[in-house]
Parts: sequence; structure tokens; C-alpha cells
Amino acid sequence: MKPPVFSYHDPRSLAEAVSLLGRLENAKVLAGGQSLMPMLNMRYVLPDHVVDLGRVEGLAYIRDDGEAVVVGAMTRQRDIEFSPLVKEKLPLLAEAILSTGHRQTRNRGTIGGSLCHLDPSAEQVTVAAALDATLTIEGPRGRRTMPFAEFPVAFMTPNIEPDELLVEIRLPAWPKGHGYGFVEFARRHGDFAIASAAALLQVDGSGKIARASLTLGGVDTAPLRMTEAEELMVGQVPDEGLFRAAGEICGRIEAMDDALVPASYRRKLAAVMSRRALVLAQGRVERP
Amino acid sequence: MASELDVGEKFALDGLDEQRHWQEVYREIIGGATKGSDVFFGHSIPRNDVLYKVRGRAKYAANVTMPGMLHGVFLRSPHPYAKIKRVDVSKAKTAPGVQCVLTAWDVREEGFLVGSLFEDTPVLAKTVVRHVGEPVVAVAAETLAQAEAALDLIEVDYEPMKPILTPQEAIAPGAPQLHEQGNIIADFTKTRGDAEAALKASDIVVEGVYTNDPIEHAYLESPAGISFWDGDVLTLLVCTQYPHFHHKQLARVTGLPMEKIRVVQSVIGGAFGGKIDVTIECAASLMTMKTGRPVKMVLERNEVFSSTTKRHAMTIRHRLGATKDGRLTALDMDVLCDGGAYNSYSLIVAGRCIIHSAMPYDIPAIKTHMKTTFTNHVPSGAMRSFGVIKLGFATESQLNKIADQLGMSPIEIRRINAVKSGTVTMTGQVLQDVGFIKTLDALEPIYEARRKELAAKPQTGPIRTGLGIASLGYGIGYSGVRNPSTARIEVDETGLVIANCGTPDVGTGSDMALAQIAADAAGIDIARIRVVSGDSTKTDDSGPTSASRTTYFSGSAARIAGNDFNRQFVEALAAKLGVSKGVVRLNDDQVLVNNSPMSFEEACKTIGSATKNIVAYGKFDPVNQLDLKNFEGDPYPTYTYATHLAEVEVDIETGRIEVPNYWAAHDAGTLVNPMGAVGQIEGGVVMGLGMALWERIVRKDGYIQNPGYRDYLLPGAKDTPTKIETIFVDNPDPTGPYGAKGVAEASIIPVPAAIAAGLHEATGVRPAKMPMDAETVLDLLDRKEAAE
Repeated sequence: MKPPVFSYHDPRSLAEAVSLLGRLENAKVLAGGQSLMPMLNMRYVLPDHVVDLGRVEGLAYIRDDGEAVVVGAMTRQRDIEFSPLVKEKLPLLAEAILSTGHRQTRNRGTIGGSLCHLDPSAEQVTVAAALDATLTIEGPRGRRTMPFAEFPVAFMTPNIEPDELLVEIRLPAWPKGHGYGFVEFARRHGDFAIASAAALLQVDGSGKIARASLTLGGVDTAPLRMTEAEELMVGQVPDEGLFRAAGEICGRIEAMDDALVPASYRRKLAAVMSRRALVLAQGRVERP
Repeated sequence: MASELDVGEKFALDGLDEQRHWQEVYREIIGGATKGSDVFFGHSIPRNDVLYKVRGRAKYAANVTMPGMLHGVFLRSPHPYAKIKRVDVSKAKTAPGVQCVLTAWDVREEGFLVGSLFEDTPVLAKTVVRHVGEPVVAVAAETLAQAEAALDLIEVDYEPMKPILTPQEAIAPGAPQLHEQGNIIADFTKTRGDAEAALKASDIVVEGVYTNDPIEHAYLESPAGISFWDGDVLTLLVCTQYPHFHHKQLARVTGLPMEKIRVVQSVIGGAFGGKIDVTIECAASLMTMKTGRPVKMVLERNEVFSSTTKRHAMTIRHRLGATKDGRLTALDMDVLCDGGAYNSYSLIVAGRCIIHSAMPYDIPAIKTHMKTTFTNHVPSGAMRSFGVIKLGFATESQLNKIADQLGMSPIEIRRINAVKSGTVTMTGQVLQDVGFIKTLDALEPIYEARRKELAAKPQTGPIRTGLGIASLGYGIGYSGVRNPSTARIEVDETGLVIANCGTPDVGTGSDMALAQIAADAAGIDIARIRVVSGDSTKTDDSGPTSASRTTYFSGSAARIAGNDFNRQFVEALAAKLGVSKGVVRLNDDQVLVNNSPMSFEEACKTIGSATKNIVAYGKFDPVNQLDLKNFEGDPYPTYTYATHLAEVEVDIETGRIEVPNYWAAHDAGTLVNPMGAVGQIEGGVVMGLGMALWERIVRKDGYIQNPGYRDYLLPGAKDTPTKIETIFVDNPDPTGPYGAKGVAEASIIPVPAAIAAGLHEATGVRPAKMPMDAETVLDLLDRKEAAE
């Protein structure tokens, strides 16, 4: 199929982009286009205007902010994949990005585009939840920041006004030596994940878990931070039994149910994927 | 345009100049592939179409444009079953750009119903719609967007009725009858001996119920075509497996005489049985007749899913008995099959399944029954193996079960029960030149060696590994009816040889195989030959390209025609030179007259205008008759056999299966083009893998839930085995051209059963449903764990 008829806009500055969005009715933001273009072609969306951020200056960068890595919304996934800074400070993102689409789509796809598209299976969405990202949003009423946890409001619906743009993502770095693991399950290689899990573990000098982050992707309408499992693990000595117990908590979620994947299978996968992510993370912990 | 059509080209490229360029390139490739040999048969000659296909130069029907061309689209039924109360197209008729709005009332009475075997399908629905996606109105407009916009202006009042969604519902007492013939498409029974008594007397009996979801052919190219007037001849360029069928049908639908119609196959992007029925042919042609203008129609992918035929969903109840030394004693099989809303090829599928009930085994007592019903699903139709893949899944799984219970090797139990030369089948046919056991012999050492290797590897973590075996026997050609193929070979003064072959190349490379056979038989260079196939006015009706019949049937015809060409050519040259034909020879592209050489071109020039009189003809028409009531007789002239070995890896925590290695041993007779044959096997294995592990049309209340490739899962390159090793056993078929027989469909048949067997060896669970998707497998594993 071909996309429906729309007007194309390619602003050169953030101010111009925001003003366009304020002015145009029924506009869609093009931020790489790896989801939007197929959706247009399938006529899932019928915008009158498409505002392409591809030529807006100053939205693509990866910066070290000491305690966090700050990423511009239009940063291509391929640049994240090859960033030494991301590899060093956000190894979870570096690992997860390799499962995002394919090499060809990562060349075009952007982190901001993925977060605003907010597919619950998307790796970057799951990682943003796992890392407690903070989002910077710009609109005609100025700039605001928002914790990622407040960003998803419903299935594929971000907490952002039609005239606003996501401009920056702040991803807090965990201390050196932390363990990380991202695993996902898809029926075929390269498919959207039916279930994914992102795990982060920090272990103290006595060998106990000082801090844990466990997030499930793909199983619900938005990423699920498994705080109950995280609380279970903190203060414990990590072992197979503990991770199995954490996995069992994940296996009790209310998962999405549809004609293609039954909720019961998503729950089973949630248990297995979370345990595998934790085991992987534990294996990577460097004790202080 | 007309001149291009006259040389039988398929609009493949931008005109004759470009074609000549490719001919030159191709000549060198052939030279390389056949170096040092004086025959073309048996060599891996690359197909000439791949040259322009991989360069993106092939012109598919969707790529063809013509001056004044209109774009046609269908309005389709949104209901699985409904009465049509009213169709109002008045607004659409006056919409911008619209040139034609076609409804059932515009189709003449004699041509209102069409269909491959039975004329039961309305060109456009009139009083009732029987499945979601059934065409109701067709619109042609100046642009595609205008045609699509006009669809929104059409008003159709439906009165929805309760649909029949399963064969069980269709045969239930009091069920509404979907057609005049009732709800039954096929109801076949065949018995041999007393199966019930033999089962009772068996040492071991295994039972199982095997099911599958319908699947999509998943050809790359959507059905597409363009109709136009070429002078006073209504011409249709369309991607089809069977141009002659459409030619005859269009004569009835349009009322035009046969000689005023021409159907030409376009470059085709896959078919697999899915391009054998009617899609756009009638509507496009009728709109061309109404407007006088070319009309192009290209189905969208969601239309392909919702409106074209699918592989049948079957429920197979299966009982298989054996003695304690592994000798099969009896088979009882009962199949219930969802035929969908119209007949299509369901009857042929049922007939072939009955005939193949026991294949490839010699079972003394058999009772087999198959019932196919109408439902309000999209019609089920022809697809690679005509249903036999599902029988294979059942029978081969059952046989593996017996082997396991008896502690026998899966190869040994097949050897004990294999059909051999001289075996009398259930229909009374005496089999000849059977190479089945050779395929077992070929795989056995590989199987044993790999078993040892895997046993030596410790199984840790969640991955378990197993090996699985399954086999097949498959009849070549139509089931039990005569289905001749013909070929005509002509030459002109410049030395260009045209071989008009009846069955079109549907992307398999059959044109190449036919050229190889014809070249050898005629004694000329293959580069001289242009195969013209798939043109309803250039060849006799030789049936469709289906049923693995092209190499065997059309190949035999090409061989006879080639020999005839050689004879006629020599006679014509001798007559022209006034010498005795005994001193003229044509061999290896060399003409010898009284032992002095002459080039082929020179000879053609010498013959001059008398080349027109050389019309070599070959017809191959083996006598195959089957009494379709009692299933007695010889249904096929020959059979192809194979045994497959799958190595399966299962993640026991997720149920996900990978197949890292695969071996396929085939008896395909002598190979015409080994590279093409390997391609067929590898393609079939991957297609079978798709059906085994991922592919399913998900249906709910008569609606397809996954009408696109996002949710309909085909295997991708990374999902296919790292290694597929194909072994061809040495087993020439003396009845085929140079010993060849068919191979196309067969390679898909044993794949699901081989994978199921590997899964069983790895984990102890035995799936009985396709696809064996991850949740099904995990469910089986969980239930096994709970039971232990």
C-alpha cells in the first residue's frame, strides 16, 4: 500500500518545529519513520500533515552528564549502538539496542521516535523504564521534564500534547561494576518481542544485593517495573532460588491477551525471561 | 506492443533490444555451465529469468502500464454469510475519475458463475455472500486513489446470517445449506481388506488425532493482471498457473468467441497452487469490454489474505496397527476437512488424499474416509502437495510412535514396510522403479553418525536436542485422469528456435528444464531455444503447472517434439539440397551433409522459407485411469519418494524450536537441472518448516485476525536451518524424459513430521497439531511435567 495524501514539512529548527505543531491540525511527527512509515502505508494513521524532524539542528547527541548519559531525541539507534559512552555507562541500553529492529532500521530509527511511539515491545521503552529515565519535553508553553514512569498513559499513548516534542532523554548511569541483562523472546529472529526483561543489579561488599531493577516489556500495555520482585531481592544474597522466586512474581502479572498470543503464555515467558535476565546480570556483577 | 506479444514474450523487459542483450549475457553463462559436455540435460544451468529478476528488471503485471489504462478495485463482503438486499452504485458511478462500476447485474447469465472444477463462484456476488472478502462490486477509475475513493460511495444492504464455521457445524442436522449441492464437497471411502479385524489382531495399535490451521501460499507477488484490447482480441496478461483455463472461462464469461481471446502469463512471483483459481481475471476483462480501455488490477496483501484460497484445515483421526516385529497390519483413517465457501480444488485434494492414505507403505488392510464440507470461510484450494502434507504429519508421526514403542530404529521400520518395485497399492496399481528404500539407505549412515555425535554432547541448560525421521511417496500428475502435455518446436530462417510448451513456468525454472530436454532431443544448442509457455494462443492446453507434473509430462512432450524436430529438420535440408536424408545429420548443434560440416544458421538459411513447414510436435499422454468411485486403477504414471532427517533444538522453558541441521534424501529420477532440483528441495523444506512451526491463519467468527505479514509468521532467513543437505539417489525412471520425474511439491511433505519426531526424541512430547508453535510445545512440556 501507499501512504494517504498528506502535507510534508521539514523544519530546520526546534522553534520552527514546535510552531508548526502548534499551528497544524492533525499532524504527525516523523522521527526516523521506522514505525510511522509502515503505519502510513497500512493506513493505520491518516494525518493531514507530517512534520519531519530529520533536519532539525541540535537534537542528535550523546553526552556525559556525570551521573547520567543525556541523549538527544533524534539520536539514531545505530549511533547509540556504537557509542563508547553508552557501552561504558549504560551497558543495558547497549545490549538492548542490538535487539531493536534490524541493522537497516537502526540506521534510521531514533530513540525519541521509539519512546513516543511507545510500543510495549520496544527495547528502548523497556530500558527507559528500567533506568528511571527523565524526559525533557518542549512545547509552546516552554520546557518541562517528566519521569518516564509518568510517560505512558495507555497502550501506545504517551503523556505528551499534540503541540509538544520530546527533545532529550536523561538516562541515569548505575555505578561501575553493576550487573545488567536484557533478554527477550520472539517467535522468529528479529520479531517484536512477546516478552522481554531488563535487569540491573548492584551488589555491596558483603555480597548482598544493594539495589535491583527489574522491568518486563511486551507483556502489558506499557513496561512493567516489578517493584515487588525488586524489593524481594534487595538485601538478599543472589542465587538461582532467589531469581526463580523473582521470576515467579513476574509470572503472576495480568498480561495482555489477544488472538495471536494468549495471556497464559505471556505470563510463562515473563517468569522465564525475568529469571534469565537476572542470572545474566548477576554473572556480570563486578564485586567492589 | 503487439509485436512483442507475437514473439511470445511476457513483457519481461523493456522491449526486444533489452532482451537481446540478456540473451548475449546468458549465452556465456550456459557455456560455462556445460563446458566439456555435449548434452544439456543433467547440468546445473542457471535459469535465464534470474538474470533480470535479481537486477530488478523483470516486469511483473503490476509494473505494466499502458496508455489510457484504468485501475480496478473490488468492494468486498464484510460478512461471513449474508443476504444482499440492495446494491446502490449510483454515487460511485459519478465519482471523479470513475469509468466503470461493475456489479453482478452487468455479468451475463451464462457467465455469472465461474470456478476451476465446478462453476459455483459468482464473478461478483448477487444475492448472497458466503465469506468475508468475497467480491461484490468492481470499480475502474483513472487513478487507483479515485477507484478506492469510489468504493466508499457504494451502498450495500446486507442481512447477516449465522455463519457455518466448522465442518462439524456443516454436517450437523438442520444446518443451513450453503449451496444447491448441499454442504458436502467430497465424501470418499476406500477399503482394502478388513481393517477393523486386522487392527484387533495387531500386537500394537497407536491412535491419534492430528489437526492443522489453514495457511497462506505466501507468494511474493500479489495476484495481478491487466486486460486490454489488442486489435479485436481481448487480451489478458496475468500471473497465473493456468492461462488456458482462463481463456476458456473468459469465452463463457464475456461471450466472445475463443479466437478473440488471449491469455498470457506475466512474469510470476510465486504461486504454489494459489494462482490457479479466479481472482481478477473476469472483473478486469469485463471492465475492459465496458470501457474499451486497459484495466489493471493488483490485489492488496490484505485482500490476498481475505479472498484467495488457503490450505485446508483438517482433523485426521488415525489408527495404525503393527505386529511386534514392526510389520504394519492395518490403517484406519478418518478425515474431516474445511473446504471453505466454494469448491475450488477441494475435490481433487480429497481424492489425492484418499489415494495417498498409506503412501509410501505397504499396508494390507486399510479403511480410509474423507469428508470435505463447505463453510463460511474463504475457500480452501490447491496448495503444494494437495493436502498430503497433513496425512504425512499423521501417518509418519504414528509410524514413529510404533517404532519408539517397539524400540526399533525409525529407518528400520520404514524399510520393513516400504513400497518396492512390484508392490501392489491399495488402488491395485503395481509400482515400478521405486527408489524409496534407496532414500532410507542414503540417510541411515548420516542419521547414525549424527546420533552418536549428539549423544556425546552433554545436554545442559534449557536446550534439548533430538533427531527426527519422516518419509513420503507422492504421485506425479493429476489423480487418476488423463492429463496430456504437448510441445511444438519451430524454427525460422535466422536459426531462432521457438519451443511452445503447454505448461507455464511459475517461477520453478521449468522453462529451463524444458529447454534442456528439447535441446538435447533436437541436437541443437540450448541458447538457440526460446521457450514460449503460458500463452493460451501459442500452445495446446496442457493443463496447469501443478501436481509436480511439468518436468515429467511437459518434459516428455518436449523430448518427443525435439526428436521430431531433428527428423523434420534433416528431411527439409535434404530436400532442399536434393540429397538423401540418410547423409544429413544434426547433432551437437552441428549439421553434417555427406560428412561436411555446416553451421546451424547456414542450414536454416539454406532451408529458407521452408523452415515454416517444420512444425515438430510432441504429445505425452500416459494412460492413467482410476475409478474415482471405488478408487481402483492406476492413478499416476509414476511416484517420487523421499526421506528427511531433522535435527531439532528445543528450549524447554519457552517451547521454542530451532532446526539447525536438515537432510533430505530424494528419489527424483535422473535430474534435469541439479541446481534447480536442489532449489526445489530447499524451498520445500523451508516452506514445510513454516507450516510446522509458525504459519497459521488465525480465524475468529469467520474473520481472519492476521491478514498481513506482521502477524502471519513466515520463516525468515535466520529462522531456517544453517545447513540443508540434499541427497539425490540414483534411480532413473525409464518412463520419464531421460529418466526424470517430478520433485516440486514432494519436499514439503515430511518436514512437519520429521520435526515432530525430533521434538519427541529431545523432550518426550508428541505434538499432534500444526503449527507446533512455542506455546503449544511449552503447554505439552508443562502437561508432561505435571503428569510425572
